[in-house]
Amino acid sequence: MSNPRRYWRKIRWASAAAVIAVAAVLTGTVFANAASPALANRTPAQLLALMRGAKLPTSMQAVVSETANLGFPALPNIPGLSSSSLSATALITGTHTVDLWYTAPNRLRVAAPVSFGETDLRVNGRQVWQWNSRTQTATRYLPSARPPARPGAAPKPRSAAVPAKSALAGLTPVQASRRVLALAGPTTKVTVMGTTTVAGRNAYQLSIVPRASGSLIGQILIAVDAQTYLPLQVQVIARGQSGPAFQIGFTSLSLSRPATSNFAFTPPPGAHVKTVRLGASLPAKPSGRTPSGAAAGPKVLGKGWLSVAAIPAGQALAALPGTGLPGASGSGSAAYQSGLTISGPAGKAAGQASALAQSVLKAATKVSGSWGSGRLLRTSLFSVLITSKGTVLVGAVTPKVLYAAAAQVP
Amino acid sequence: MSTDSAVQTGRPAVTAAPAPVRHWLRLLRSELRIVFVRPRNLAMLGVLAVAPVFLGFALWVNTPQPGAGGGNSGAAALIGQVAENGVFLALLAIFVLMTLILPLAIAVVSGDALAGEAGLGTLRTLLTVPAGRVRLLATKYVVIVIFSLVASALVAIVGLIMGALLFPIGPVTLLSGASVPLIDGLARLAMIVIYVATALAALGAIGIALSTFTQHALAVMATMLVVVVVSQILDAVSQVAVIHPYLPTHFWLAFDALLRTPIDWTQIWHGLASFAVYAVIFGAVAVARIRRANISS
Repeated sequence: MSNPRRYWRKIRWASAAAVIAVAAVLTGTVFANAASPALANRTPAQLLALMRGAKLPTSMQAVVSETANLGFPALPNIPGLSSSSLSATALITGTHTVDLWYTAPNRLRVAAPVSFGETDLRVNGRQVWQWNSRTQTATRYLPSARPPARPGAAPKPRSAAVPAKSALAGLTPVQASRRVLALAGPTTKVTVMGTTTVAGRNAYQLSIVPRASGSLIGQILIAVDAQTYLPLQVQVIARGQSGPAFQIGFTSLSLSRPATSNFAFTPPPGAHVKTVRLGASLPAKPSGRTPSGAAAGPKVLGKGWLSVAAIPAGQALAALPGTGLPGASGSGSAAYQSGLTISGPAGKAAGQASALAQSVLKAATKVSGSWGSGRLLRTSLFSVLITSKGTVLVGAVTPKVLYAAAAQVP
Repeated sequence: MSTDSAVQTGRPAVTAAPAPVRHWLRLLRSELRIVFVRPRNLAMLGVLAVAPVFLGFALWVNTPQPGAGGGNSGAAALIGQVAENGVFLALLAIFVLMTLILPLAIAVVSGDALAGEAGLGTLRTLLTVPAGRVRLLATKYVVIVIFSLVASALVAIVGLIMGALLFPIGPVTLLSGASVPLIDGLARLAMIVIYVATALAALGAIGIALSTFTQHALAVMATMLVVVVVSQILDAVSQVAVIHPYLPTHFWLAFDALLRTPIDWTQIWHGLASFAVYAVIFGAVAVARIRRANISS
């Protein structure tokens, strides 16, 4: 205080520093950046073994975020300005968030929040309710003649009898990474690329690189939880790019037991209440055809990373939004699509699919070769070839591989 | 304690007070009076109060089908619920006015705060005491914060009254599909009002910082509206999604998190943290500017 001038100068610097510090702390709470925690060394083989032995948590509350940046060439509308987060183009670009509450396969809640709207699926024992706030519709799904899933069984992608399960399958990074690991083999280089932090949990970063040069997938990064060895995040990086073209991961994960109030549902007063019996409704949806229609459905040509799905002419339109994509590139968004199609009437979903097909066709370029001619759509992560015969070939591969596959199609 | 003389001159005598808190409260009271009796501010509040009335009558004349909010925008979703529950008229009014009118009201008040006084030549007299500059700025900002709260509460209350008069009022259906008692719904509405007021107060910090740079209140208002509109446009373009969380308006309508069960506090805290960052940064700019500025008028 002896020298007030110096004192004030100090105060000034201190206050400037304080402002920066406060801003930094506040920004840090909003955008927590990934750190690299020090963890015990693990070889890829050890990590893969631990992952196979990992048990799904008995209960969790989580937020799963999916981001697709597939680099579509010039889609007709700017997705953000169409102001619909559920529109056709919004499903393949942008970020989607899903909230999960889970204590058992027959006790779960999946919520897809959008701005001033929410679609919920609640499974509470034998009660299955779906809620759509935009239409104020509560739909009750009654089980088919078959008995419901055994309690205690883990939600596997195969047992997709209940829509809740098929919605969950692929929604979590767990399922997405299983699909990727199934592809691992001599065609693939697997390494552990240090550590990272996902949803506030320490994790190993497992890197998967396809050796085939015809693959558009440059690298797949799986963040494996250091405690439970569950995958926390899957990132698919296109060849020659630095940022992920597709990413699904937990942005928040708590293994504590969620409140039971999440699962119970009573239609609010004034809501439209519908009842759908599952056995009757499923065949109406494109996804419901799989048991009988699989043989006539998409054919897979090629192996491993170079697999190409060939969809015959008639079915192309229905399957276009992503169900035909092999590997991890499409599985997440396809599952997301199937998770959302249950939210609306089947007709609306089909309308979205055809609208998407229209915009995709507009963006495709004409190509021809010894294999024939057609239209090619190239994104950073996958290529789509629609031949003049109407066959649609899709793969996470370069167009050359598609042309070779097109030559094989009669 | 002659409040009368303070009203007449518009200012209390700024002298070394034996009780700084009481002195500051007197300054605050006088500043509040100036803001809340200024005709243009009253007109602004009048517009804010009329808007929910107009919205209510428009929806009453042309009543939407219950649950007809099949549209894609948030406004359509809220409109669909107004016919069922008048509480949603208050929410709709906040939603609609938050795009431009509420920010405009804050722009007017923060433009007047310093730039307006400088333009009138009254700021120089106010700043004759060097130690009083930061305190004067703080007082003016507190007034803006109070005005934000009054403006957003006014919209909500008028909306609620109109909703109660024109539409049925009862248990509130939340976005998650749960129906909560009316009192719970009103508590959530109160939290939304506070959230929106915080958003406006952060905008007011930008405004008061701009206000220290010019003598023209109109320039401050125009700049603020440009900031708001450009930020909203950028927020709608998905190609620049990377910068979205940093935009000043990005979290303005995030109060839908309060309409879910359980309440998505993460989103609310993100919003409040974003507002706090803006308030701190621009508040610091305003403090730095007003302490060093050579004010001649």
